[in-house]
Amino acid sequence: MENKKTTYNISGMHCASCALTIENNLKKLPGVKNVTVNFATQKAVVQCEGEVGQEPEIIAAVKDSGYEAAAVTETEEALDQAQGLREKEIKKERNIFIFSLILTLPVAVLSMILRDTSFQSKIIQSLLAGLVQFYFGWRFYRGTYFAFKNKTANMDTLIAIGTSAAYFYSLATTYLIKGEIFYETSALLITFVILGKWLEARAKGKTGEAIKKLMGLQAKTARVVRDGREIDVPIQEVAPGDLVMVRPGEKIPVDGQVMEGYSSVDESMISGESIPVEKKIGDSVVGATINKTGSFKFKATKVGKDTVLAQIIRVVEDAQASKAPIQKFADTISGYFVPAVIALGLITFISWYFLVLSPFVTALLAFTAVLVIACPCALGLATPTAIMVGTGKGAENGILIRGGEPLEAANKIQVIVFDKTGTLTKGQPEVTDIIEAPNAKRQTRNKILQLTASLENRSEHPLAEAIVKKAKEQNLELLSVTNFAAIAGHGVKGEVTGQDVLVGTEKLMAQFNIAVAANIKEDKSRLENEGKTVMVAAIDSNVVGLIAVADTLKETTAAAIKQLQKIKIKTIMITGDNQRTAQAIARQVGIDEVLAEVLPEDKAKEIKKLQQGELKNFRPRRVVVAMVGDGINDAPALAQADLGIAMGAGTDIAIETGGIILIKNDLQDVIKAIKLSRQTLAKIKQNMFWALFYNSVGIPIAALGLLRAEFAGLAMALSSVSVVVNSLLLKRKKL
Amino acid sequence: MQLIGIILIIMVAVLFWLWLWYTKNQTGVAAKESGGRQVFDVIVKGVYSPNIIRAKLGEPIRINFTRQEDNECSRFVNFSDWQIRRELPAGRTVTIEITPTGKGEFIFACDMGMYQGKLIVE
Repeated sequence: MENKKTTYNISGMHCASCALTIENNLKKLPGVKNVTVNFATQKAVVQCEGEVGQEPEIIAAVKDSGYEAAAVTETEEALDQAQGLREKEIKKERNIFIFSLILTLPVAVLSMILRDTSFQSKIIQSLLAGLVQFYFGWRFYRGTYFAFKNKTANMDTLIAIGTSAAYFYSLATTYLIKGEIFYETSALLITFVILGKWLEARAKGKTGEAIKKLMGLQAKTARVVRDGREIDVPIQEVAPGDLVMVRPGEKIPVDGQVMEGYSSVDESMISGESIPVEKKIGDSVVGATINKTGSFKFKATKVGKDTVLAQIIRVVEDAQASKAPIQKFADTISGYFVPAVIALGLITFISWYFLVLSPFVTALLAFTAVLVIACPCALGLATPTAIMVGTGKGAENGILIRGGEPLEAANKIQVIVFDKTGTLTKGQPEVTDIIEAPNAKRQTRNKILQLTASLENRSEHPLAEAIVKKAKEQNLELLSVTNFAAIAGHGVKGEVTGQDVLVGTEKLMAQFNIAVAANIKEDKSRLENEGKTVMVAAIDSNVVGLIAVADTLKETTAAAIKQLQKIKIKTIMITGDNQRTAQAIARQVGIDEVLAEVLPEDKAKEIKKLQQGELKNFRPRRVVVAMVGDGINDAPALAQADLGIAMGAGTDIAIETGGIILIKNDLQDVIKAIKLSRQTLAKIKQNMFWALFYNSVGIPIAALGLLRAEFAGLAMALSSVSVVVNSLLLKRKKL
Repeated sequence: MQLIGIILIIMVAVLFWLWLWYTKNQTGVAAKESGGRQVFDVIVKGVYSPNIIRAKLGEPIRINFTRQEDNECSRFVNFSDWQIRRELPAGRTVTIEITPTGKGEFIFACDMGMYQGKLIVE
């Protein structure tokens, strides 16, 4: 039977005998084969028989012994281990480089500076270079062997052949035949290649820092109210529905909804928003954010894998593991590389020795140089490193880019379509104007508002909600209504304190034979031209005034649109509103074009039309269209667009839709996302260019014998490092 | 002397061509069957071993990569046709599952493309 090992975090142990107690208790459980409890690491490793996990029993048994246990999640454990391993690898690489350099330096000094060609000098050099060649350079021989066993060749083959040629020739001239020595070539070459590997490993470690940072945000424990008592439990034990207590300065452990108390919360680590957000009863809070001022209790709604943080981590991880389509090109080149380079090296040697009739040494050195300069390593690193740094930087700013493809799409955008409600506007209609009719029989504005609000309180229309809200803001009492009726699409009517109240469109007034005076009509069309929805209010068959409602624009909308136009992207607004309202809003924000009166289900179709080039001023060809929406009711349109950008309202993100997800509800982030994508793709292109340039220029120079082999090795090592460092520079760019 | 040189160059060219021909005609390793899956075990040590694997279309493919070295080069394996890039921690086995939707030859490689393997789906 197969044994299953599970690791648990144990809390509450304060001595080694505690560990023993737990161990003994766990061993008594059926199916448990072996238990090791480590007091130092506060961990228990339990080996069970069979595939079936016995987590609940084990956790319960630990609790019975008076301690707390939680299963270590796979990722957490793997991360810790992988992290430690990586650091060790990097350190090892560094030490190898240092020792190799210590042995190589005397060789270089003797041969290049002192130019000592005495027999003693030759012997010393042969010994030191031999150590470098076979001790530190052993890995290249080993790699060559494994490759050979599989009937193929790899990068190690190139380095092994190249350095062996130089070393063994020198060995021969030292002890057997007449000729020059060049031990420094093989020794320096190996040292440089090792240097390159060390620097690369170090730099690559930095490219993945964003994920580490995100994972580190997770709280470790939560203070949960259980049986009327507040107790600290490991985060893994928090269940949805638990009441969690948070004090000032503490991290909010999981996602939830505030039930009691008031505070402000720093959400910058999740949304990038630097100003703390006010939280009152009913507001949602996000795990990993930090409570600033007050204490509050909240009900856990999402835990474990479902929290916003966990989802963000997943998106970033997937993105960093993805490759941009541009990368395929690099992959195909590399396939035939090593054999082609060996062939090229041989041809170089033959040409120098047999055709040009130059000395053997010249031919051999050119051969070595060609072998070692040709590594296409830098080409392969061009994309992944830039994507890792780019997506990581995005995550730190509340911009989640879902990998290489959205990144490339973001660079090609010609048109951006914005959903109006909730994207350009706040999505919450507000009463903007109340106008009393001149002959309104002393009906004050407040009176108009009070009567209409009383009536609208019975309606469920979003506009009605705005009116009721306004009345409440003004502390107006809502009166009781009799004979209420809603006339669909037109308005509402009813009796309030014995008066007949009618609120709705001009058409509704006509239906009830109520005349609307010319000056009222004038006011109405003026307000409509400002993009507001206007309702007429009548009391006892007399028009008493107008109430205008509008969905107000977000503060940053106009500026964001202007910036997009500056970078030559056409902006379009899509909305279900009528032409006049839509046009008015478009004028306010300065948007280029309007698609009005579009039903929600037709939005995707409109996007498709745009893509097919059915747009003024665009030649009929494929247009790259991005769509910005909230990702909830416009998911099909986001999917249809070449790039879907989903905007989260606060932290309530529709994370499944959209190639780019903006956690903050701020249009400026659309521009930031585009900028970041452009910067990242620019880095990829720079990296690719540099890598290709280096190979295409380096090989001919080496073949012509213009480059000493050891410097060819240095160039090769540094080309990879320079690509990784160039990617890391992305972190410094301003968004 | 020049003649020898030319003959040698031709020989190198012929050898290179032979190598190309040889790699094209390598048949590769077939899968172990396990619970409706085609399973391959690939050791990462200097190269991918085996470096050509042959699978049938339709059944999911599971490739277990075991990286028996700590060479920086082989830290990641890429299946660019499926946009997969996975870290292979040294000394551990990482499983990658793929279900190809069409026949063809698919390259898997390290970041730098120096470790190369081929998945043939037929």
